[in-house]
Amino acid sequence: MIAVLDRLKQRSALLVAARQAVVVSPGRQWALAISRTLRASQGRTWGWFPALGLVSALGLLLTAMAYTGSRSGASWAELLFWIGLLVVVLPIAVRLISVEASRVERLGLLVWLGLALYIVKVMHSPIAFTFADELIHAGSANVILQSGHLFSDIPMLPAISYYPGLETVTTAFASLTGLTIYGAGAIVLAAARLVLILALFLLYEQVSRSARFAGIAALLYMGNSNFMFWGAQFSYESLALPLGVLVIYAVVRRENGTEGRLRRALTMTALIALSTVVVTHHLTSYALVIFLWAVIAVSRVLRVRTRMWDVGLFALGAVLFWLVSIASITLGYLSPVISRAVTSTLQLIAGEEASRELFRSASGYLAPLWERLTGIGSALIVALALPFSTLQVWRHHRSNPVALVLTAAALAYCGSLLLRFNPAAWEIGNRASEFLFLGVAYVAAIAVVELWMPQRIGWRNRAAFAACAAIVFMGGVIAGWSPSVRLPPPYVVSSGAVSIEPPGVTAARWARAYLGPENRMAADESNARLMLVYGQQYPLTGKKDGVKAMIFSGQIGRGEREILQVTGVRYVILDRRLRSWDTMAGLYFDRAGRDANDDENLMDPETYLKFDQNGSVSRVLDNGAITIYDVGALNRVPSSQ
Amino acid sequence: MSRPANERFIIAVAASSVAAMLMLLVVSNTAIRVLLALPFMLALPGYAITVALFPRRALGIPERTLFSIGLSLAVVALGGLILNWTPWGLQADSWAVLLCATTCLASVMALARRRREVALAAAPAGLGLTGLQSLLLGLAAVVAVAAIGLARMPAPLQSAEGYTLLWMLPSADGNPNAVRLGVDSMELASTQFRLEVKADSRTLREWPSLTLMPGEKWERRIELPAAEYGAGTIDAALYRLDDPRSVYRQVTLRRSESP
Repeated sequence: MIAVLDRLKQRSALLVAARQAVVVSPGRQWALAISRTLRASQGRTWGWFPALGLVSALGLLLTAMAYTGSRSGASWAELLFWIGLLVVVLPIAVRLISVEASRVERLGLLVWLGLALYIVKVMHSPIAFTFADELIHAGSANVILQSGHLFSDIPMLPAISYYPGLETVTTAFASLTGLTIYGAGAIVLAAARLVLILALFLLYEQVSRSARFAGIAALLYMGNSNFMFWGAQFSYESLALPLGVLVIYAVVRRENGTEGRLRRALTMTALIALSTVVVTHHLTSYALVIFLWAVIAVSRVLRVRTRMWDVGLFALGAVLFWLVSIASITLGYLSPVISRAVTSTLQLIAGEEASRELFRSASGYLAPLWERLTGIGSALIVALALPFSTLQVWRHHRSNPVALVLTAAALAYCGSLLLRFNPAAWEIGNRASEFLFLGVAYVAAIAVVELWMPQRIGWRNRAAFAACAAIVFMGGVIAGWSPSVRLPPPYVVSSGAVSIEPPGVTAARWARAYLGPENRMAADESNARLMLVYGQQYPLTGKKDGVKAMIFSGQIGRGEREILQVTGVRYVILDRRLRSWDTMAGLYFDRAGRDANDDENLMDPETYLKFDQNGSVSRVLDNGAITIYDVGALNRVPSSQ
Repeated sequence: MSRPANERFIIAVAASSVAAMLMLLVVSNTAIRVLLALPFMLALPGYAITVALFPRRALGIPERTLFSIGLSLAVVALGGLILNWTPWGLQADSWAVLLCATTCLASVMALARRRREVALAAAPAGLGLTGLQSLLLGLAAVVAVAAIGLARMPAPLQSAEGYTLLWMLPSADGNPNAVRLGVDSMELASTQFRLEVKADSRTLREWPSLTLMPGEKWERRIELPAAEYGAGTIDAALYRLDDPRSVYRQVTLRRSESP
């Protein structure tokens, strides 16, 4: 009987389809066919994940086309970039808001989205690391790979060699496989990204007891300004943060009541991961200690029993041990940054210092109006959700210490936005966002799930959520990365079968081959990084030791000679392009006819030719933009060869 | 008596680790080594520790995946500290031994603990993907790989400006009357140059027409009679033949620079 009914149903469906095929247009037929295919693709558990994964992948293709267009100087590239990103994010965001999706489907969508956004970063620099910090870490990894030992002296950012977690994992993969540091690093970071997404979902699920809530919160976390580029770069926090969230998940799950052996297993897991965070990144380990002790403190106040004491004590002890016995240099690295920020804040309050103009880069570039509005809109959406969610947390979740600490983090995030007005503290505010956004995502998800759309939702609400998600996500990207390199300039240029690298990379490779490694060199910020990675030199740059002042001086007087002697520099690299002091844009090729020969983009000739006037300095390399001078005769420093 | 399925799986994990270690030490093909190292380094150690630590059925697939990858990363990062204080340091061989030993040790612990438990593990569930879903996911992966491939394409010629390196260094053999001179063309098309070496405005050597293709290098060791080099300064100037009056690149070597 059932079989007969089924057959009748099928036949009537076929009749309806045939009737539709007669009356509808070919375009409509295509739409119906696609709709039927997509509906058929929904299994019992994975739901829309495979279909939306394909849509998201097409968004990646659009983004790749935008990047390719950007490298060619196409004006349409930026529009296509944003369209591609929205195609990657929005269909998944709309599905995650629905109440029908299964837990597995939500997890699949989130993992895919997290990896897709990582691929967006990889496609930005698909040949080599090009972000400022990446080059220093890559240089550190090169040193480990060659020496077989940790804790070597790394110029420019000495603290990183005492937090070698990321470099250790990367060099292990590189030495086992024969891959380059870039290839090995890209794979390690993909694994770290997978850990981050899974840990975020499971953490929010533990706190909320809802897969829908967890999916939305993890999605909203991806709207933080450091998620897409900063948090995916080859830098220590890209590994430490995922492991830090894993630690939080393990201790929160342990708090939620588990039997003996499981509790011990979670403790062991948390301790192993925590130890790794401590040896990988200073700030993440401090943030973790603050989180654990905040939960302990709130539990005490609420008189809620907590088991976090052991992990909290271990975290505090491990961080202090590492800081005091191994990485004491960190204090000297972090304390000036913090003291400058505090001083600047006080001066700002006293009216003695001008505030920083939002959306204007260090080079003076002001973001277009729509970008400024989107960035502000993104912050406003978060700010709008915060009071209602805080009230909701207080009413319904105030017995949960973790929920209270996450809400406090969200409130702190709003406070950190004020730091963006401070020229000396905006970077602290920006860096803090990846930690504090754990709380922002939580309270924003409360606003969405508990206050706005607790039940089945119509298309209007879905559209409104999609619009909000788009603004938060785009605002994060706008606030998080310099507009001058959001889309990549040309890095490798093809000439027939030959690929040509930027002048700085070629000069660094030449230095390695002809001058030998580990020469002390004075250089601008970009060339110093390239000399570290590709030249295996010991570069000095910036204001430290007067290097920048010496390079920008119009003469070689007594002061300049003193600087050369104190620093023990054997070679000076002069890049006449002022852009080479911009660590973001200085690594790339000059765009034909745009950047290269404009006088305002070049150093004063008196400055960059000053060494030619000196009778004892040799000009050993000239590639147009970059000149390398051998100043050994001025300070009697021998070459490494 | 046959072993339960979960025990066989743990033994297989340890055996895979040993096999991967041996192959990593022997095989030289990078692609194969990457395929071997992915599970060997980023999954098996963490998986074995997870199985050893956690009671059966305590974790779902997402949790197990999270802990397997997370603990694998942690084992490598912390293992590096241990290797750093050994005479072998951080090298491919020492990594292979350390990771294999970790996986095998954790597997033995897992086996020992599991035998004390009575219940048998449930067979691992399949992924539950339909044929069409697998096809869509496969297509999505292909499109994502194609996107990366597209992004890796070098920029076209017209997007950037080419350049050329001219360099000059003292002779590597320490001969004070010899220098090394080189031109590396990074121009975007075949380019003709004229190269001139002078001492005190007197031409010592000249190459009236050097044609270099993009990426092509030209290098010479030049012996200079001591009398000619006496002035202590040698200049080399490079001209492009399509603009023969302007010096394109210039380098100078001063004899007094040698410490």
